[in-house]
Amino acid sequence: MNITRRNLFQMTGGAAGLISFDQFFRPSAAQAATIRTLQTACAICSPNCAIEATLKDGVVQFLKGIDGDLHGEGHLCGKGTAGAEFLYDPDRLKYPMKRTNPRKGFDEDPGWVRISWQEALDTIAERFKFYIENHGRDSLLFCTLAGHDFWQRFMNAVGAINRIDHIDVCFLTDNIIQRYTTGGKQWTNDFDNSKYILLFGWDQVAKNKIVYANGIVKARANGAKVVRFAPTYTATSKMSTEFHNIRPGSDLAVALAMINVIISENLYDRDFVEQYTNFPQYETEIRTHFAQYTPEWAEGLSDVPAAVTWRIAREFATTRPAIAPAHKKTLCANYMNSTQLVHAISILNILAGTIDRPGGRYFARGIPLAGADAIWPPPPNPQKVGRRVDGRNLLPLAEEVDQGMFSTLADGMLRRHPGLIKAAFFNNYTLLGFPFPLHMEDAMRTVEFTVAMDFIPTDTTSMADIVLPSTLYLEGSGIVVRNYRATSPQAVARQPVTAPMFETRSIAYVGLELGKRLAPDHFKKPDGSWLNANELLDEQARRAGLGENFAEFRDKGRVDRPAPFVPRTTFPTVGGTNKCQILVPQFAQKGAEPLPKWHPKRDQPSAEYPYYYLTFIPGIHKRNTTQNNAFLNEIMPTNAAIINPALAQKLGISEGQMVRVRSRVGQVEVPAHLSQTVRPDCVQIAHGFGHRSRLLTKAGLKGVRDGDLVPDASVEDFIAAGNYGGSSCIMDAVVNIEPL
Amino acid sequence: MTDRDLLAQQSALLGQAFLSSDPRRLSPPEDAAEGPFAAFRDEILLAQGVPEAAELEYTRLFISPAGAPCSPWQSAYAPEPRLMGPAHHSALEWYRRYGAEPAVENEPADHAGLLLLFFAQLAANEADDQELRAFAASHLIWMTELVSRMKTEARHPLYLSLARATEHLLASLA
Repeated sequence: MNITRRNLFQMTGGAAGLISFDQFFRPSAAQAATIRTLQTACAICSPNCAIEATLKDGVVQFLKGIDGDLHGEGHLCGKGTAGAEFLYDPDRLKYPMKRTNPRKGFDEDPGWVRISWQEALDTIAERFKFYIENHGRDSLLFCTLAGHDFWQRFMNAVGAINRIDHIDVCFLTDNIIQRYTTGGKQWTNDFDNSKYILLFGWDQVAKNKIVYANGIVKARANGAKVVRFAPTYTATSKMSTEFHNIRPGSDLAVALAMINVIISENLYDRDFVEQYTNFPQYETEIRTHFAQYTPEWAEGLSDVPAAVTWRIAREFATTRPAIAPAHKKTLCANYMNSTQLVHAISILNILAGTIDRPGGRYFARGIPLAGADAIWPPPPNPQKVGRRVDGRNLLPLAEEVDQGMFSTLADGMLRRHPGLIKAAFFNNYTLLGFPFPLHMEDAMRTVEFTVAMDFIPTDTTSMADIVLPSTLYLEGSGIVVRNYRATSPQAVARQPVTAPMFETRSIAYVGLELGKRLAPDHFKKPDGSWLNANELLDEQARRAGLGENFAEFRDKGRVDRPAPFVPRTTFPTVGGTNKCQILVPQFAQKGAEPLPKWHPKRDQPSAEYPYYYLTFIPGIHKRNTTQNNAFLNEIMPTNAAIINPALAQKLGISEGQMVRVRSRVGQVEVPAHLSQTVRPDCVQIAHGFGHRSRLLTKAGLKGVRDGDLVPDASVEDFIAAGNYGGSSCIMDAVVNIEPL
Repeated sequence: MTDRDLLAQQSALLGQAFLSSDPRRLSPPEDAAEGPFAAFRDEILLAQGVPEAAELEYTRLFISPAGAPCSPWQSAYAPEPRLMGPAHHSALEWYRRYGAEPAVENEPADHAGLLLLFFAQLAANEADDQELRAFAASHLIWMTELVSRMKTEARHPLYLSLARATEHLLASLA
């Protein structure tokens, strides 16, 4: 085709001259597409692997890892690689909206109309102000992580008492335990240098957490032994030297028995334990306490032969360095006895003498960043007085860390304090994230005014009065300090690879704009001008020595500060002894157990519900947020009830046949999938599916919600069961299964 | 008015209608005596009296977070629906060849409204029929699917008549 380039702006001919072409188009000198690359960082999960994005005319074409990044080490997982599909999802929330149909429900058309950000923010500010003045500060519910400094400052400035996050379905128990036993962060594991890796349910290889998967691969290459206990055979089991098909919820018994073996045979690292722990101070109590937990006793509860526990305990204590990781959803939040399990695991690490030692769990060598409050101190915040809707105030250890509680929120809103919550702000949380989402759905119906901020129309969005479209990580800036594998400090720059699509905005913007309206003095600098997110980044980069300003740091992409690893000799545990604590005396003062005791999981098989229920997060998905991603949806669009072929044969169930799975609180109907990977006394269903219809083109109506079978709880239930760390029991259920 | 002028005028009107949720921003054609464009003109005049209902329907059809049934972007009709797909890049190439780019940078260039407005400008100014036909084949014909969805989904007469008028234009290009 012989094309002469012409300029439509220089022509006025014809009827088209009547319309305002230049209202929607502008002159362009560009001749051809521009291709370029930019460095940024992922944020689908918390290691935030570094990314190189290839862009054509500003549109992401390809994402890949960057060599030299301590976390991704040049790789991205499937989720990270599919990141552009979040940006360009046709279902993406594009503009602020308000509801015109007051009836709420999945079967109701909300009657959305597009509104301006100005109208959205004015309305939210006005309503929040009304509820604070007429019903108190505790009438506001913020379902959100603390998030950006400005967002946090806003919540503090309005005296938000009820900020609820999902950490109790994640790592809350381990966070509490580490504060008191080692003083360290809970997930920095030096697998690379370890010789013996002991995994209780830990499954990060199967979850494609690259930073850990690479560590396990290197450890194996270095000749390390990897032992895994779990009721399912996964990619992590495959990477292990030895795998034991343990009974669900009984890992605690085996861990307690191992501690007993190591202590009674004096196999622990004597130098470390005597010098850096409170073992000498409480030796008698500790020895007496654990003597009751023999491997023979544990065998009856766990199906792990006593001889195996004896052997592994001895190997773990004498093959140095050794490590037993705990991490997030897997094992930290599964059962009513998870707090005791992570305490026992922490003790195993202490006995191995590898806290902050090569091959063990260590303290990340980070780069401290100044927060907004340090840079521009706010005026005094209002007192946070009022009722805590989820009852967390009754769990002092959870209250101290200000995390959770998804698991008791619905009970709090419906039973403990009915009618307390008048207005709610949900930031990137959907109903599927709550244990037993049906209760949470009922709870949401009791709220008069709900705002949902998200990037796609989740189930929460469909219950909202105002919807705010959120930017994604590929559209934002930030300083990411490495904290998963950081024997020396590293910081990576996050920069927008594309301008925010449509009218999407960040939570920092919302915090600042609501702050200007409701607490202006908190959002002014000393010179009277408004706070500014870009200036915050500039100041953080400058104070941390990453660059003169953020732009300079961004242009570097990454800052490394190589330094020799000097093991710690003091351990900042709560209590101020500077030692690791095996027995935690402060726990006793706070109504908890100073040493981990055996507790069974909550729900046990019965004649009516004979099978253990298991859930898992597939490696190709992140919790309940990625099912609408085009690539990830294509790889795994739905879930199934996974059962062992032996159980299937006994019950007359064939591959793909619809089955009904029932628990004491609910039932789901779903196809069966037969697999040798699960024990014959278990039924397993993947988390993240069962989004409600109409909202999401690809994920809506596909699969079932794993949580519909899992009872939620009250704080009283937790206290009665000794769950003082607030494990949310996300798979503590037993079920029946029958063919349809 | 020449055929080209009429084509340009009609395309421009449709383009604006796809881009504006408020019917008061539309200038209805004065000389459409009969047919789908006359019906469309009448519906615009009626909708301008009660714009709220039309705005609600615009949101529901094209941008609703509760699952817009009639996505206005060409890339959403590809075998693998995705915003900013090949159709976006191809549209951008066309615009640039004629010295233009969409005024809003952070939205896809293959919006039905932008494509129709550009086509209108092309019809009014570009002598080469081949060019017009090539652009229509690449960036207008897909709208038969959009129109068909609108005819099923639309609850407001303005958008039913927009669908019929667009269908009429597409038929005249075939």
